[in-house]
Amino acid sequence: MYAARRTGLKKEMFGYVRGGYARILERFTEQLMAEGVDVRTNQATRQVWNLPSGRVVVDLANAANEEFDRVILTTPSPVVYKLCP
Amino acid sequence: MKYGIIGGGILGMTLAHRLAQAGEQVTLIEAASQLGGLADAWQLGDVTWDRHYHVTLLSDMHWRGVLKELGLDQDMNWVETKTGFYTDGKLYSMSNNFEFLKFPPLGLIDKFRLGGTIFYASKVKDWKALEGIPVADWLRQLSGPRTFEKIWLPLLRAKLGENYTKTSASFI
Repeated sequence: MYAARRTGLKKEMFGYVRGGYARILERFTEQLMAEGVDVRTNQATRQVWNLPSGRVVVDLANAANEEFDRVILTTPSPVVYKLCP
Repeated sequence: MKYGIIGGGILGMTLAHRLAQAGEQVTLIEAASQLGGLADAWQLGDVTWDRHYHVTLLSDMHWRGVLKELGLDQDMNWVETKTGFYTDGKLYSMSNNFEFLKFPPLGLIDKFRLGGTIFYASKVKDWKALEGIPVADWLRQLSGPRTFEKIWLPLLRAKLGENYTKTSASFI
């Protein structure tokens, strides 16, 4: 925290985008879609497991299971623990 | 390669963005109805407001880089941050060294210990040793009980709520 706030500048400046995070998120979501990212909202994950082949299965609550080469979990660790027992 | 990212917060979104830029095939999976996670906004009457408190400082180069890629860097408003303390029914500005030395609720020795704590904290390199020590115990011991009650405790409560009792000293 201390390191993050050290800028070498005398004054500490706080920055915000007019419109707040709602605007940033809207723009960021548009950008991801334009880059071809398949964005799936309202899509809860039930479980994640490895196949012997090294591929990874994601069990989705209201869609068919999906297989990926790599899966990255960015949820808080208690959720990771539940998804990957 | 086909990547699945679970969790559409800022981390998941940034990973998806970077992998897509690298030419990978990416699926971003989010349980909520929109992306954002803890950076989410909500509606209060007719005002759209950030749900949680976040701060972007001049030193946050990675995040500022993302904003630039989104074309939002031009819309950043930068203001100088000021620090104030509300204590014993009065608001005291504490934005520079002079105001710090004047700050009436603390005596000179308290101030010296507070300054010493901050200096010491900035020099600690081994965060692992601090993981086992509760943040409140550590600060009370270094700064003394009065400074802890007047300065650190209100700060910890403002930042963490009652979770400060479960937080380790490495937070500082």
